[in-house]
Amino acid sequence: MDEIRQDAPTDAELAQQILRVGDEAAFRALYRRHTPALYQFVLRILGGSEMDAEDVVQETWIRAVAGLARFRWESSFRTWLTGIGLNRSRKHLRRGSRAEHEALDAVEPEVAAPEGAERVDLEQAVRLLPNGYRAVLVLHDVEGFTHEEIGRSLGITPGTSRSQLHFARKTLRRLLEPRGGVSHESRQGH
Amino acid sequence: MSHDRDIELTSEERAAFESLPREAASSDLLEERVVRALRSRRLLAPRRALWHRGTRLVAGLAASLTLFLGGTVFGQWLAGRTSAEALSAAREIRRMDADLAAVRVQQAGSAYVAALASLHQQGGDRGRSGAKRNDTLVQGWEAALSALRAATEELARMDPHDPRIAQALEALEGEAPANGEAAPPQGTSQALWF
Repeated sequence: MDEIRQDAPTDAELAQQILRVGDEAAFRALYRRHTPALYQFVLRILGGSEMDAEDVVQETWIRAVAGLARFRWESSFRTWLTGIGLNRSRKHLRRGSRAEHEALDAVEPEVAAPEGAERVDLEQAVRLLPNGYRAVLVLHDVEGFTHEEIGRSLGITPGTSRSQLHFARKTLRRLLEPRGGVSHESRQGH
Repeated sequence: MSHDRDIELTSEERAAFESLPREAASSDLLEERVVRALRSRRLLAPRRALWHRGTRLVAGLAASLTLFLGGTVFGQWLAGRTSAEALSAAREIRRMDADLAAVRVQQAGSAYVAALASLHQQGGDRGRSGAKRNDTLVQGWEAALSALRAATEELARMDPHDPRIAQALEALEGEAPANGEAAPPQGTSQALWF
């Protein structure tokens, strides 16, 4: 994705082509440039459901192209697209369950690793987090957003974002501990 | 509350997060699905319209070419047909002229023979009619020979190898004077013909 040829049209140029004549080739170029990252991001936010992630990616692109004329290019196209992807993902999660609201209540939910699993890797552990925790953790620790940016994106205060991240990391560590092994917290205590 | 200060990421955890993949491949069908969805919402130009525009251009060119070629062929056919009709009409006119000429020759020949018979009858009464009547007979005879010579010459032009015509010409030339004028059987020539 980062290896865009120098003579390749920029995102803004492709967007102009799409806006001017509905150029399908320009859209495909833009789609192929940004979809792998968008898909991975949406997949993480949703907790690993590929089918749901594809639905959300489709909705994201529809929203993005429909709102392309209003995009002022003050941020990068990818950041803007990721924001749309996040909103569509949250909407999708809200449609599916109330888990996110439960998590956003800042009550630490009980999360356990799958039965029989000796140890889960980081990707699996992120997937197992409650929706609200997962969104903040992915945005902060994977994507590198600040709490202020996360607050604006999710419609929460930066303080709530910090609180969510605290519980998310705590839960994550518990999930990553080997079964029957020494916990991270107990190691820190000693 | 500063929970993230309480639980800072270790360097191992940070490295683990950084090593997570930032991109993933979606199914091949997703792109087509998205493009179709955008087309159906008219956010992208419909493919059919593009195809239709191209086809319409090609069809227009083909129609123009067909019209042009059709017009050319029809024009040539019409011109050929007109020429053939004109040629046929000219042939018909020529054929009609020939028929008319043949009829006129027959009529003139009959009139000539009738006139000669009348002249011969008048010649039988020559003694009873006096000198004035004799002059008229000579003029008629002279005119008859001139007409016969002219007709024979015309026939010789039409068919120079016909022996009958050659004989007739010889006989008529034997009657002719040295200067080529028809000689009256008696007296001086008093009429000019042809």
